[in-house]
Amino acid sequence: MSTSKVAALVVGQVIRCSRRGSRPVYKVRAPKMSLDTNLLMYFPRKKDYWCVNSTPEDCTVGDIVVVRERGHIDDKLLDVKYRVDSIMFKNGAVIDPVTGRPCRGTEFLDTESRVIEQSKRKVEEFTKLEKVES
Amino acid sequence: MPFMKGIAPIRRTKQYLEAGKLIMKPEIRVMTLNFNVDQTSSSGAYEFMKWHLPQLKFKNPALQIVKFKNMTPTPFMQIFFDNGEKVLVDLYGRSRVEIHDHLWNTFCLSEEEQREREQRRLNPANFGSHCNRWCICEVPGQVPCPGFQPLPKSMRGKYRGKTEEELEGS
Repeated sequence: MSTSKVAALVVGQVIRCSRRGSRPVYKVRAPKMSLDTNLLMYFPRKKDYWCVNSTPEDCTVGDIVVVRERGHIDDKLLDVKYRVDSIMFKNGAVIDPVTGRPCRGTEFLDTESRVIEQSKRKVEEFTKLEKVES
Repeated sequence: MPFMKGIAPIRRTKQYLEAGKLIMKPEIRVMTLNFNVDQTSSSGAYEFMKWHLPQLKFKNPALQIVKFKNMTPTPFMQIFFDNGEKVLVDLYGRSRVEIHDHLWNTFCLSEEEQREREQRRLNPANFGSHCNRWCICEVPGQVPCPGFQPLPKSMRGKYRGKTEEELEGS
C-alpha cells in the first residue's frame, strides 16, 4: 500500500455503520473529482473513511457529514484516523442552512403538514394492525 | 481538438482549464455547491458549475468540490476552512459572473499573491515537487546523486567518527 496521508477535512456521506466492540464506527464515502488526462474531463472517484462520531447527535447511514482527522487517539481504535465533526444534512431531515427551515428536495416543509403526514402514517399502521387481528 | 464531443467541449481544452483565474486560499479545503435543475434562480449557480468548476478544480487540485442537486429549495455554496469554520454563500438569483467575482474577491488569492507563488516555483534556488528541478544532484557541478554514484565514505553517516586509515582499510 502507498503511504497514507491523513486528509485534514472532507465532506462525505455515511454509507455504513459498524461496531468495534461497543463503539460504533461509520464509513464515510467522500467523492473526489479526478482528471482523466486523455479527455481532460473530471470524473468522480470515491474515497472511504472510517470515522468515529464526535458530534452530540446520532449519526445514521445516509447523512452528509463533515469529517476531520482525529488529532489525538487515546483509545483502542488506533486505525480509525477520522472523526465525524458535524452533520451537514441529516438523512430524511434536511434543513436548508440559508433559511433554517426543514425541506424536502426543492420544497419547504412546514411543521403542520409534517405533523399531519406523520399522524396519517400512524393511522395506517393502526389500521394495518386491526386488519391483521380481525 | 480530438474527442471534442458533448456540450461546449471547449471546457475540456488545456488552454481553457489553464485560463482559470480562481486559485483558492490554501486554508480552504472543501467547497460544496447546492443547486437546482430547472429553476431560474438557480441558473447562475448551474452556469457557474458548468463553466467554472472544471477550471477551479484544475487550478486547485487539493480542493474537494462536492455538488448537491435538488436538495434544498434555494441554491447556495458552503466553503469549509482548515480550522473547521464554514462560510455560507447564498446564490439565489445570482448570475454566473456575480458568483465568479464574489469568489474571486472573497476567497481567492489575488493576482499579486498568485504571481508570488509562481515566482517561488520558478525560482532556481528552490528544489522539490513543485519546482523545475527535483534535487540539486541534477545540476552539473554539484555532488552527484548517491543513487547512481556512492558518496565517499567520509561523507557517509555509517563511517562517522572513523579515521582516514580506518576508512582506507574498509
